[in-house]
Amino acid sequence: MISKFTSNQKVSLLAIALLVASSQSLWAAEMPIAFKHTANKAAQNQVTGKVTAEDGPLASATVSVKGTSVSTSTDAKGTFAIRAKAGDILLVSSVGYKTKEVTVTGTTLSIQLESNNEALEEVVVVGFAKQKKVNLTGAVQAITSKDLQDRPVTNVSSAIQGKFSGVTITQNSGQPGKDNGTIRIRGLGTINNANPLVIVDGIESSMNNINPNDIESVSVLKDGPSAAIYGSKAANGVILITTKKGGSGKPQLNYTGYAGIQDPTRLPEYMNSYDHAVILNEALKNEGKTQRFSQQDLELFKNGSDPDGHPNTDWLGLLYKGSGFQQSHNLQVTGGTEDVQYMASGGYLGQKGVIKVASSDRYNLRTNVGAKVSSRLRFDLGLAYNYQRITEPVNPYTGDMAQIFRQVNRIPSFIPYKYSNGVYGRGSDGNPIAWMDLEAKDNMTYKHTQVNFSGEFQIMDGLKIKQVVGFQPIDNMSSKFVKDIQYYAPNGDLGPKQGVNNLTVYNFQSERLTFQTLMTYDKKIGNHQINVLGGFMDETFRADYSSAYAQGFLNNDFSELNLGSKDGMKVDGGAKKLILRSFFGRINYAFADKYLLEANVRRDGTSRFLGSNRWSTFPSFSAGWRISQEDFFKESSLSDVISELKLRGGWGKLGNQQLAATSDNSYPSSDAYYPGLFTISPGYNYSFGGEISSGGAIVESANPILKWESTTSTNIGLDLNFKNNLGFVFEYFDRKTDGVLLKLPVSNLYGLPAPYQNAGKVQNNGVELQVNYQNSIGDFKYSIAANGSYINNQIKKWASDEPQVNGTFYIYEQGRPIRSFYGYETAGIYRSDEEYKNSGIQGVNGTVGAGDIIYKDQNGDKKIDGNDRVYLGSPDPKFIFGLTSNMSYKNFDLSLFFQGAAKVQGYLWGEAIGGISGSDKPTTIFADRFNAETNPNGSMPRALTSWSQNSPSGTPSDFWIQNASYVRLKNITFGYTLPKTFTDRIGIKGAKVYYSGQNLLTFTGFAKGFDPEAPADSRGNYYPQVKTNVFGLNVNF
Amino acid sequence: MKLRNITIALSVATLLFSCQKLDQEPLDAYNADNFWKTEAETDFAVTGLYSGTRGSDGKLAEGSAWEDGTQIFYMDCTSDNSNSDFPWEGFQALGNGTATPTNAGNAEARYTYEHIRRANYILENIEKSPVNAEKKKRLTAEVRVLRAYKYFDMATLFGGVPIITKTLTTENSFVPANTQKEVLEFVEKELKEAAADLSFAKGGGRMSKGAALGLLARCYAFEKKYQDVINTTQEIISSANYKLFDDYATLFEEANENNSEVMMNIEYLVNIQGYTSLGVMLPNSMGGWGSIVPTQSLVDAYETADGQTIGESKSYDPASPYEKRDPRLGATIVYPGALYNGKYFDPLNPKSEDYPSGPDNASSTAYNYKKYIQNPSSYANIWNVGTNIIVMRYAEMLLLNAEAKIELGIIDNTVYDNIDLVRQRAKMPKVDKAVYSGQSKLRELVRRELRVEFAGEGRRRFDIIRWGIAKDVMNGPVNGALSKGTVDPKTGKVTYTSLTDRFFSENRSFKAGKNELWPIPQAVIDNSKGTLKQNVGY
Repeated sequence: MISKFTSNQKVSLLAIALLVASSQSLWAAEMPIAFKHTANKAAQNQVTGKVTAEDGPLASATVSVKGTSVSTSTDAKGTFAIRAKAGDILLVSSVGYKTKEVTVTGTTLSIQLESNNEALEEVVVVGFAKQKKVNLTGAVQAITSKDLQDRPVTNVSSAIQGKFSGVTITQNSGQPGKDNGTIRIRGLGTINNANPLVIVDGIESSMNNINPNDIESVSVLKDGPSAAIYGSKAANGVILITTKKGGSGKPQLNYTGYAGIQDPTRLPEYMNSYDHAVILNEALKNEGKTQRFSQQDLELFKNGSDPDGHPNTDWLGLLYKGSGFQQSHNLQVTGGTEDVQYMASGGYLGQKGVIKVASSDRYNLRTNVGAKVSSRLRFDLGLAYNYQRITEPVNPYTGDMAQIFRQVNRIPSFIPYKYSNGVYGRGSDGNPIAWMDLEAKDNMTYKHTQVNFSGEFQIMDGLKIKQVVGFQPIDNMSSKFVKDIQYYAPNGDLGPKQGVNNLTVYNFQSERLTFQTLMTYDKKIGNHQINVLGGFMDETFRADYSSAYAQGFLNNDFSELNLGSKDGMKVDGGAKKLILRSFFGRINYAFADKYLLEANVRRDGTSRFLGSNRWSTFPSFSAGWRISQEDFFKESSLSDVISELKLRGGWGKLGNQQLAATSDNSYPSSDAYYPGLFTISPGYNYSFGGEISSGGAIVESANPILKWESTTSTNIGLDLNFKNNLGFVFEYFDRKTDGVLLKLPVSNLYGLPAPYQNAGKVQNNGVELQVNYQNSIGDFKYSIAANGSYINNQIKKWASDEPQVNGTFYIYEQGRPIRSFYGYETAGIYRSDEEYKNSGIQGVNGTVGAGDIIYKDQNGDKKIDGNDRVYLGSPDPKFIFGLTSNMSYKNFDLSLFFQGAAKVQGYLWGEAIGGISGSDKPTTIFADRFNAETNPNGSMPRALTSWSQNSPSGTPSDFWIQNASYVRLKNITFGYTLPKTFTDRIGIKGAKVYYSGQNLLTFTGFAKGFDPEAPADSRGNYYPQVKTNVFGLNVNF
Repeated sequence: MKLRNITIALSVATLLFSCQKLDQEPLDAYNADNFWKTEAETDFAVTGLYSGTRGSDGKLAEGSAWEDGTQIFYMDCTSDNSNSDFPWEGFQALGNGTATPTNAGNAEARYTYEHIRRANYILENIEKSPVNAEKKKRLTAEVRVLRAYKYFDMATLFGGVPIITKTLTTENSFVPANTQKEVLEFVEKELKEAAADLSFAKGGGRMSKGAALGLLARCYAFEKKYQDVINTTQEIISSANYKLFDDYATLFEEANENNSEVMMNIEYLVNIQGYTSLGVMLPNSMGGWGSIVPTQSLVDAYETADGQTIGESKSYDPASPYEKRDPRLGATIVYPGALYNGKYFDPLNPKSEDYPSGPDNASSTAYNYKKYIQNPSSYANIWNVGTNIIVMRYAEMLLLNAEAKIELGIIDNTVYDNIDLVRQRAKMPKVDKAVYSGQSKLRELVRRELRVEFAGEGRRRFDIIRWGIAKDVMNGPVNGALSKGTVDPKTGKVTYTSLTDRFFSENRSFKAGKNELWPIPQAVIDNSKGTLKQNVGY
């Protein structure tokens, strides 16, 4: 361990040295300010002029001479006269317009004021550039740091959840350090990697690497044309994150921090031991088996007088004993001169889990330095270092964390946690709280560095060349020590033992080296504005891992590899390398800020494919028409209420060459890097006569003609802003993914798993709407931003016309969403044995009778089998929406953020529903089970132990489909800004205190105890979603 | 401009510097195009054939090999010897007759050309290899035996399957099935030719001449070619390369692996490439899963110690059903009151962790298997053991030889001698020639002998199908031990309060003309684009 840290210290020292060296040299290069206002010597006394706005003369505008008290205002025709001389500066202002400074140069002036409607001036980060929002032709949506502040979010994905139309973010877990959401932009286009490309300060990166507090802005490029410039990885959309840069002026120090508590949002409710004993006896009776509990047993469960023999153990209560304490502290310094700007920040996020052992500590350091060496040459350096330690408990049965949740949701309440003599109780699979008591851990350390160095040189007016080097080394290590446990019988006799204790040490490294050369040319001639971009990009990614395993440690106290038994030691490792290369270009043309055109083309090559299939070209076009700039519009009465009306449209093609979604933090083993080549995989060994021989076999098939998967998207958008600060953005999109890289089923005679092929076509289309409104009533200011999207996901073509069953719960079927639940359609419950017999339909097995679910015989062959299964819904929502409302009154502010999804299904099975058998436990929904005598109208099927006709996993059916629509108060923040008089007195510039709550309220019809954002088909063996209550403080020094 | 030049120079330099070739060789696997150049590479590929199946992560599936111990053990659940208590393990539906093409369970694992393709790949390339002719001949023969094993397995389970002897491409892998007869003839031919190129030498888990001939004998037995069975088994017997191991109970234990009786086995190496599923047979109270449980029908098949059936013997007491029985019963099955792992097994007490209506992992019949696990605490970790699992042993050859002679009516002393060898090794008396004299009585005897000798070794299904008795033994309820009584924890003495109430597992049904074969998994049919046809009745 020690040597590990030293090598890292070396890296950090080196980084700091580099930083210091570079910034010193940059300061040394500081140059005198080149331009100063030169005053016109000619003097006049009277100046007249006319003030106009976009829609004509502006009355009642204030005109004053800067630095004096001389002031006047315009008349109804917008004209004014003021005493001033050449060289004076006039300040012209009016409510709703931006104040303008005009230097007096003659005797008559014509001054046009621009509306201060922020939307019109807003600049948005787009691919390799910034663009005025009004000039956008594609579907780009952006938010700024303001939208992210004062919330106890632990990662970027949850920070942006619900903020963007058309962007579905699902957070499945609240586990410290592993609570990142899944992001889908405009639906699911492929079964391969459907994750959007994340670009941080111009370089591909990961959301995991960013402290949400360092973010200046987030742009989402949703359609083909806007994402096209990132062609080779942009088919699922692009998320552009820009981190905060330095400003000019004295150093500004800012602290933000909070502390609070997390709790599970919803936990399942299981039957108590008495109810369980009753239903178990009933189930055994239903199957003609011997009952397990006597009347006396039931009585003892009921009265609780025998906690050893007849306990009622609250297993969930025993598990959720973590403090849930969460804290975050961030310090940030910004400052600079006109030539050098810097930003440096440090952040800490500490989370203790809602269960013991689970925790995360994350440290983020970031610095951005920019320097203008000369008027033509500029350098920027960004360095970010993230260090995170995540710890999670593991168990001696399966060696992971999930099984702990599973067993807690499984082990019956009639098994004691501990007998009074201290011996652990035990279910068939062990005792999950005894496992927790072992405190066996998987310790994971993630070290991510991002280096981003660029130089920009202005060759001539309007022509610039920029060279960017991005380097991202990732260095992870995990050390998982599984402890063994010896059980005893209640009388103290030796019982079974779980697990041989063992240690797995896993080292993973990756390096991503990116070179970009960008050439830009910007020129305005009269009404013609032209921007040209040409570029080259090269990316080399290499991943390496090694793992070592040892078992049979003398005891559970020592856990380093060298202490393991020599017998059973295993090592493994591997390396992969991928190279991507691209040439790209873009032309933007605008005529009179009215007609906007953009064209992109990109040519991409990848080392993944072979020969001529390696390269592919991806073009795109888009255009915009600012109708509100047209004279006819300005002259019409519409212009009195509408400030901006723009129609946009575009078409573009993007590629994908990645075969599986991978995580930053582990070896990309599921992503085939050489899918065109047959290879002999090692590790297929065999022991001949007690000695291991190394062997290998071809176990993957290859397809040499594999090529890029392409996504074609069409987007039509309408921007509409009213003068009363009401704004709408409407988008229609249609995205088709073609040649989806699929493993089509092959004949079993082939003898290998199916190779990847370019087959399949998936369509996503839909509409998006954003509405913004802001207003104030006296000191009360408020704003509302809402967005909603409808996404229709559909398979247009798959392997063949025949549907392809995908695992237990899903199917790929033409005309259905990619993720489609598949199973039996049900029609209630048989209320009598006769009803079943009279139906003449043979059930799924030979034991069907009264109280069992009625499955529909879809093909009319009078028997229920796999051929009667049908489409049952999709876990991907058709509608998603978000609503943010900010209110402030004097020093108080309140922000509410709702987010939700509709027309979405969830499927729960296994422990999420619960079982009766006594190896597992039933949830309380079984209270209303069918029973011919006591509850003939029960809503749930009859109690069974091992017969599987009603099992949600054995016979998946719509009986278990849940409506997973929900609306959630994702966040509420209430803040108070300390009065300036007070902050001045204590010597700080400003301070704010706030309370913030995350995930506090959820409205849903989803199964009791389970979060509607739960994984799509869930047996309930995961770390639950959490709600968070914190108090925070922001201070500017 | 100097700076400008520098910038341009830098840009050009990065362009050049970054231009690695897009042609990249795999770093962590061998490119198949550059293989077969050395002897080591040839050994590597052949070892890969003996190795197991591909797991979902692309690596060797844990605990698997060319044949899987789990397949051997669970196979009895599709016969009247054992019951599978858990539908998701893939054998229950195949046992109780409810398997369908869309719910084919373990049939999906068995209808596979994975190893056949590996074998074909080696046979296509081994000519290129620089190994000497003699070794090449041996390796080729080993590969052919292994491939024949797979074909024989599929032919007995599914009937006719396509005979594929070349590596196929995805496009040309739509081949109609050959008939079962054709596949069996192919197996015969392959094994005969391979046997000629192999020696009896036990190659430490490699396919030997004994393995090839033994498999050939099985194939003939399945085809009822009795004279061929006699000839083939006689060749094995005469070679005197095998002999029965002295002790039946410990024959299967790790300490005695590769003993004189073993003809074909799956080799495991503890912790390095161990067998990881032995624990599924253990009783729940010992941390096992109770996945493969013996039936009452099997228990009843064991004779009493005096060599009579329980129906005939006066020494059999229904109130003490496990006393004075064939020692193989105690060596194979843990029953109520049995001393096992230092304790008297008690599945009768409702509070017991082994009570059938109690925890899920408790056996539904109140019986568990102990073959291979005579002493569970001898394993440091029952979930990773080095015990080799026997696929074929010499006792089968002796009994097949006797059976074939009985079927042909050649009832000579060798028939009795062969059966007696097997019985006496198990400490059972010799066959009572007075009782077992005619063909039908001897047939009954040899079939019972095959059943009890190989109980829990996955052979029973093969036998009841080829004898045509599955419809008689695979219909009706599966029962377990007597259910009402107590076990004295100090003496193991079982006292029953009822001699009729039994534990009940499930009802089975077997349709003659249909259930002799397993359903071909629907996906196999679908993926064949109409070239493969479903078996009759499914």
